[in-house]
Amino acid sequence: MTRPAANSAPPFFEWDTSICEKGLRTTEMSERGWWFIRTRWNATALCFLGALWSVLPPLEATPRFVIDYRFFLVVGVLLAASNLLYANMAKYLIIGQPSKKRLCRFLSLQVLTDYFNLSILTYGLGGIETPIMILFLPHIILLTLFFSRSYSFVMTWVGIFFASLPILLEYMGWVPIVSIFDILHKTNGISSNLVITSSYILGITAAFLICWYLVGDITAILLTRERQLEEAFNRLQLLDHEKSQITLRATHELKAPFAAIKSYVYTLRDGYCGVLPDKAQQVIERIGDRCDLLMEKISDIIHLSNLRTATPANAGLTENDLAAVVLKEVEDARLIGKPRRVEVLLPADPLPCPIMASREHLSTMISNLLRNAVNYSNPDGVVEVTLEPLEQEVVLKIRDHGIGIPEEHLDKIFEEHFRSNNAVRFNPNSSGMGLALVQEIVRLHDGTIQVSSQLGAGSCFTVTLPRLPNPSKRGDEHGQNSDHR
Amino acid sequence: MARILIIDDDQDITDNLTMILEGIGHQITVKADTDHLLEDVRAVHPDLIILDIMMPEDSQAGFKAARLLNQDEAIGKIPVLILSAVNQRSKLSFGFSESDISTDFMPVEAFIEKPVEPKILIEKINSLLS
Repeated sequence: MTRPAANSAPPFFEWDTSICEKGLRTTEMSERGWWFIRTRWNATALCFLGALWSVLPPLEATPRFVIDYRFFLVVGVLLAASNLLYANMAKYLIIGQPSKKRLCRFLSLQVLTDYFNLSILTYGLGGIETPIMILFLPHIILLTLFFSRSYSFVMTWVGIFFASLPILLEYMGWVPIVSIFDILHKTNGISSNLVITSSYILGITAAFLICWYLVGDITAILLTRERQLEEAFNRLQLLDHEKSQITLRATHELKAPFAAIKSYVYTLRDGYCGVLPDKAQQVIERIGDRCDLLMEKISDIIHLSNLRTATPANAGLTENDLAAVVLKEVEDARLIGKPRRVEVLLPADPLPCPIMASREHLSTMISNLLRNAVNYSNPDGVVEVTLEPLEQEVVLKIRDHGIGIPEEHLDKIFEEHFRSNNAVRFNPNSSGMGLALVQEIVRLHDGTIQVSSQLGAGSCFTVTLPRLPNPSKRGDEHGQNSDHR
Repeated sequence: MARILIIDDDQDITDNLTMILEGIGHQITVKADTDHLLEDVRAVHPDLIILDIMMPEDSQAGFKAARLLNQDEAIGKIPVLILSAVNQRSKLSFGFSESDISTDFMPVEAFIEKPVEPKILIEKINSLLS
């Protein structure tokens, strides 16, 4: 079998031997399979109602149709019997992991059954007299969606055949003429007239083929777009993975030399190469400190660059308890504050605050805010941390009573590398990246951050993050839902 | 004293570790990559393996090596200490997904981030050897 070149434009009409090479995905076809069965039960009920209506005496105001209830009854019984069979078949075919080919055959069989039943109904409702064959059109639309272009084309012709069959048979005189209005008029006029009959059949043919063409064309465009989107999504995922790998490699390449220098510094400082003179010891300490600062800056720059390209979708957000992270970071901050006797207060054990977050990013955010609060507090100072779970959000406040931020600098403190003059004088060893990182993390978690400060009196940072309902509450809701089911 | 196998491509790190650990009497063997890992481990028969994660050939070489060592019944009992310049706080740092909890993220006995203070390293090694 020869195939067209991969990069050549596909011909409008490509005859392929597969019935379902193109078209919907297996899951979508399974859903449609069930939909077919559910809808057929409705059609069955309507047929039985039609049969009942046909035998009831007509109301004064309604026109007198002559409908043989047996047509509705036969179609209703056929639909019910076939639907019972299909519902059972669907349990084996659709539930589990059906193959697309088997699903296509199963749906084809259902469409053929419907064609047959519609054909009987068309005949019973006077054929040419009623627009009942419109009901063939939804089938043509659906099978054009389900199947390949060539297979749906064949099935459309089968539909044309079944829709025309009652009219053709009546014209040929092979079946008795059925009329719901005036049997004499139909027998002598419409059904025996070649022009009317052939025009009618041609009209059906044109309508069905136009329907097949338009739906098939739109479906093909949509499927092509969908595939392009899927390919673009896969490419983006690949790029995202590559970006992570490059970042990882860059982090390693930048940090590794400093790690080696710092290791030598430790080795010299701790006397593994012999005892150093005091001055040499001081120099080594200072080399170590500058190394730490540079490593911290490199880490922060890489971290910030990663955060700026991150989105909630690719940041690996999972359910985390903000209260647990705050507790841990407060413990760490207490250790940092100990040498200068800065106390970090968390009034009471905070209530659980479930949020969608990256635990790593949360830790970075809280530790940066706490470090700042501790580092810019005066000796013997106090840092107060509060965590308030509200209905829709969680509010974290970190307040210090330290040096404060000049009012004119409040709108610049989240800029990278920015440090106010009083902060530089108070703590020269800082990268100036901490608050930029905090702001990016808050943005990534769809939250807000606000700062209020008074020079010489301290600052208060307020972070608001969207919260999830408590697990117990979600459990209740789940239970209620289960009960409803 | 113990036989320690150090697997790291950074010669400054391996020289420094060798200086510290030989200074307190350990016998050190250095390997710069994870090629022929099992054969080399069998030949050295170490009491402890110190392993870097990121090697020039693969950013997860250390994890793969640790898994390979774990799979061997005899070698799997040797404690492994990972020493890496990349922080271990997050799986994301190593290219794992945060939601991928099934991944055997850290199939080793201990992790220390570089640079390591000699005192901390020695304490960790002593605890692993005991």
